[in-house]
Amino acid sequence: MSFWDFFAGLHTLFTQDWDTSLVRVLLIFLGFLLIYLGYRQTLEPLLMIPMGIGIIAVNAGVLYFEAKDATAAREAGTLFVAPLISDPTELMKYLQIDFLQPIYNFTFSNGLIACLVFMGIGAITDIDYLIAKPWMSMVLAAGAELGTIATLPIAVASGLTPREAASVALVGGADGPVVLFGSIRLAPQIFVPLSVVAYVYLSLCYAGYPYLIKGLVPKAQRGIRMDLKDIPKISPGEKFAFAIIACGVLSLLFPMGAPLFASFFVGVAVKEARINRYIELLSGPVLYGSTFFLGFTLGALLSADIIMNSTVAKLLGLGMLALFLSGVGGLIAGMIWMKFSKKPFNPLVGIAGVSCVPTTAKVAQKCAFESNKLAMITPYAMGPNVAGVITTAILGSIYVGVVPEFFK
Amino acid sequence: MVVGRSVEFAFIAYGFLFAISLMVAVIIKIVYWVVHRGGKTKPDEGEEA
Repeated sequence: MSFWDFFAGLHTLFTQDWDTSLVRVLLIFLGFLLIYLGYRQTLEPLLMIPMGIGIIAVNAGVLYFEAKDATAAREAGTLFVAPLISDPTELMKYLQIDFLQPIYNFTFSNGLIACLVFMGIGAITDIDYLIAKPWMSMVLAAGAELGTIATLPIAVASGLTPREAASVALVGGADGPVVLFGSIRLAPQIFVPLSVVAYVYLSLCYAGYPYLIKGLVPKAQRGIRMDLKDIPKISPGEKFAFAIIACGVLSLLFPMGAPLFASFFVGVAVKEARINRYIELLSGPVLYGSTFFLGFTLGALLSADIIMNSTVAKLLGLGMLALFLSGVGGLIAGMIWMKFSKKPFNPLVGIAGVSCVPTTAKVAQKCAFESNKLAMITPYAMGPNVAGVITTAILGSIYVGVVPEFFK
Repeated sequence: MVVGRSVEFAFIAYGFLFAISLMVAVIIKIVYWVVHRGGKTKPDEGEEA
């Protein structure tokens, strides 16, 4: 028994490889930064505060486990989660040691947490504007998937495998649960850093997209006023019928994405059927419970050994490129729609097709408002915003189902 | 070789996505048409008469 055994976290910091120790310290600082930015509301606090605490605790709390026998060296590890276990005996051992292992195995590795978040999103999403303006919403949302599409060949050219490239390209859809769902099926080895990158970048959309908008769209077009009387009133019956039929048709066409479609549309159906107890369940405990554990577990998964991977730097660059291209695609689609629209149309509605609900719709409104105090575009922007959730889920299921076969 | 295949895949996927998006819009239009035809005889709650 030595003095250092009382302070195992410090001991491992000084006895591990210097590069591992350095990455641990940097990640601890990253955790503090995320918590600070979450606390200041610069990034999404619902995710960033639990994620930051997870990152700090897992990188600080590294200890040496006892050697199995006299000849074996002691092994460094944590009491949080071991994500890359495949041997059933090892898994049973870790389920009894690591406190987040049950959460990871029973909700992350099968995609359940993504589905739970989708149920909650469905229960709080207003699909009125999607139903009121279906052509505009779906076309702009498809345009705003440019990054999800174009990043795939770019990522392959940068040296990633097609499965990894498809996973990182999904960041362009700006839909965290779909990135989680797709990457865990396509490339589980990069799922952890990719999911963290995705969620951090999604929070940054609010800060970065206004610059993209100002760079691409002239001020006169940003301030175009739209006719709100043009939006028809939609009954709950229509929304309910659409949710049921769309769920059935999309699940029939894309069985790989059926869990996501079912989860999203069951939320919508419950909302439109006005089943208040289920609405409260899905929009409260289910959505916020799963968001909390999503953030906390992702943070705890981000240990130094996971981040010290040569592909992580590529993921950082490609994730940002995907979101940038999606924003550009949405704005170009918005400008094309404006060109052919018979009524005044604000092209900023296009960027709301990047399905970060409701962030991108808010960004579009904020930029329109800065150019013209009378420009109200939120109702129109919510259409492509919600449609973007559907197009991203469609692309996610195409990638999961087709990429492994196409690149065999 | 793989890059060429990935570009080909990207074009196919984007075309496919647009086609499916338009199909979803058609579903919405059909639902709208069906519900409104029914709505003439039995207005849905929440819908303006």
